[in-house]
Amino acid sequence: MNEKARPLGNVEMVAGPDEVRGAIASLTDAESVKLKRLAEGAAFRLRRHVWGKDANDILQEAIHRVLESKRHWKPQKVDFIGFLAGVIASIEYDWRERGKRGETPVLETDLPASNTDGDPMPNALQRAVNGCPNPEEQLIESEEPTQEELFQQMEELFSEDSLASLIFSEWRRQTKGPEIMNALDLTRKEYDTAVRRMDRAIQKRWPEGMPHVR
Amino acid sequence: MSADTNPDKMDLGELFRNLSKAVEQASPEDLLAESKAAGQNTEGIAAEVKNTLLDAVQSFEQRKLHAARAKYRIRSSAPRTRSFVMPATPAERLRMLADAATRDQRVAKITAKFRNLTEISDDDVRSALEDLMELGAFDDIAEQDNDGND
Repeated sequence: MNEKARPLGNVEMVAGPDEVRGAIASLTDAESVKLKRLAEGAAFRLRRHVWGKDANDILQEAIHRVLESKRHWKPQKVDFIGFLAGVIASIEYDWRERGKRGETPVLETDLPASNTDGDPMPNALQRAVNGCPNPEEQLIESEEPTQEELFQQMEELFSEDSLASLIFSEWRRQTKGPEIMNALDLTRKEYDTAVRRMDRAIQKRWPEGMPHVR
Repeated sequence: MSADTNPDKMDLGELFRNLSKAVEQASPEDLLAESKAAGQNTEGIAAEVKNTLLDAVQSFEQRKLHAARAKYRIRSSAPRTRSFVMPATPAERLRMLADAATRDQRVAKITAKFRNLTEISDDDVRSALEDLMELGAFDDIAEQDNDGND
């Protein structure tokens, strides 16, 4: 059955490839840097759940979602950078949930067929059927830090940055941002700048992603 | 109880939220200044981001084109089932072509070369209708008729 025509007044115009191209071309350097930073952050956080996805993968996926109209960008209503920030957050959520369900897009050809001793390794399907970790996975798990140990490593990381160190210890006490700003007499900008410094330091310290914790 | 579910302590999820919020809320200019201060090649970063995004638009368009080509190949290689019956008389055939020209831009382009449709011979009309049937120009009408018959 044919879809009934909707009245024109209800039609929301969404962007096509040419409009998206135009928006990309008009991005300022500052906006591009922000997009990169958002995508890098999402990719970093995802590494705990999804293997092999970097910031560029996320940016590409964001554009595909816009063009496939999975996410409707209405240029007359929402600015491009703000819209893409929302799409990146949505991709991070989707991929994280998929990763948790074991739907991580790992190609078998990307995995070693044998361990360091040359013993054959079960493939992903066999591991999924087995359901229990193999000896190597058990060893890796036993070497994972506890969350307490990981947070102690972060405290050491911020030991040279007194403001970052203070903010981190307040976070650990469940103190919220506005309370911290109040207590330390910080403006929003000073607080956010320090937090972004912490963010950079963490990503630099754990370039492969935050380790799993026991 | 695992650390991630302990409600009394910050977990990694909350740490990530605290960190990401500071980037989301930042003005692009502040982030640019911080990147420059960190010695990053911000022009290079901006160019890379734009190229990545533009490549994504291009790959999307190519994917759509490939899908359309594949669909066309399948359609053109499969034996066509005649979904529309050739009218019995020359007058009915001419009317069918004229109706199609008012409805379908593709047909209008074909018939536009004739100053007057009545100047076309019945053989030309029949041949044009057969070509249009092969191209699926009447499939929509046939589907509508079928829907109406359901």
